[in-house]
Amino acid sequence: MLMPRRVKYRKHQRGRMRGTAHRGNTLQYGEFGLQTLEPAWITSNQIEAARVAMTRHMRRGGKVWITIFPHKPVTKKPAEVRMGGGKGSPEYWVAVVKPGRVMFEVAGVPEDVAREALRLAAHKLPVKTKVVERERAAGGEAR
Amino acid sequence: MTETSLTVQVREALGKGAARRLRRSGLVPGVVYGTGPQAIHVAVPERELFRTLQIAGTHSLVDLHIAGGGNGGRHKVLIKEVQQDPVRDEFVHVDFHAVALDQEIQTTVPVALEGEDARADDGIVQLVLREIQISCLPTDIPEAITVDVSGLAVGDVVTVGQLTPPPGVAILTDPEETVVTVSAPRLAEEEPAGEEAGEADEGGGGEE
Repeated sequence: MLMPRRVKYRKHQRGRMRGTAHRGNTLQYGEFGLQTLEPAWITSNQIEAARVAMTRHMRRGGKVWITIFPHKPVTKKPAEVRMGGGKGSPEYWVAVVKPGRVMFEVAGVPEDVAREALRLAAHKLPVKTKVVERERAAGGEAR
Repeated sequence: MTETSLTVQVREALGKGAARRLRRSGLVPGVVYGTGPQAIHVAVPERELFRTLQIAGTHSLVDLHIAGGGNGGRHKVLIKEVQQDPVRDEFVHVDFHAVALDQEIQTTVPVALEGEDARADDGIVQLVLREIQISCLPTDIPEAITVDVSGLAVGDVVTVGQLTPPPGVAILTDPEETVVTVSAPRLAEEEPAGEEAGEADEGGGGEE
């Protein structure tokens, strides 16, 4: 499961997810990518499940890039504990994504395989998504 | 090289309110620079811009006709930047760079792969560098720099220095940079990408 090796602060504040992704909203490595249309916390479990779904579908050949990383720790108080007594202990890790963020990229497989792999991955995620495609060389920008 | 034409109007009202009104009416705000000391603010019909990008892309010359205003005229331009909404894909703004046809310019062109179907082994051809910076006359800008990958084997690497530019074109990108690699295909499912690193430790002096 993805998680930071070392962090400066164990517990983070929750923050807000307003606006759209101004970085990481284009394809960097692959031919096809999965872009989120909603803001969300994507847990490391969800990222792993999506990755497994994609690699299983693509079997051999092809390459998958995960372009988000769960940097943010989420804390939880134990069950049946009254309020107070300080912040809970870190429970899991999430990646904060905002609309437009490309989360996964694939290359090296035919278009139908890539789209199906990304569709399967999308089912593991708590957000609406769309598949984005790289602009064709010498053919202008895709919209 | 394909050349296409585009007619735009001069826009007088500037600022975000005016720009938003423009977008609602099906126009895209843009700017033309390189024509003189003052940049010209223009409005481009969205559908026309889309069509132009489909034909010319961002790497070939466009014959721009500026209608209305005192700055009217025809210019040869490159579409320098297209800003798009990352979610809705709508055009937000477009930059046109007017160029003189007798002066060399620096621009980027895409790298196109050739002979991928003719490859014998099942190595994965990976395009590492998708655009190359070149210097040439605006009329000599190639559609793409092609790389023949038909003879490459697993482990082979093509660098910028191995590419042959078309006549009149000089490549400016570092010759040592990798353009294409061929890697071995995955045989079975890989181990999980992220290694189990144990609990994340608080580093350094910890929380203050």
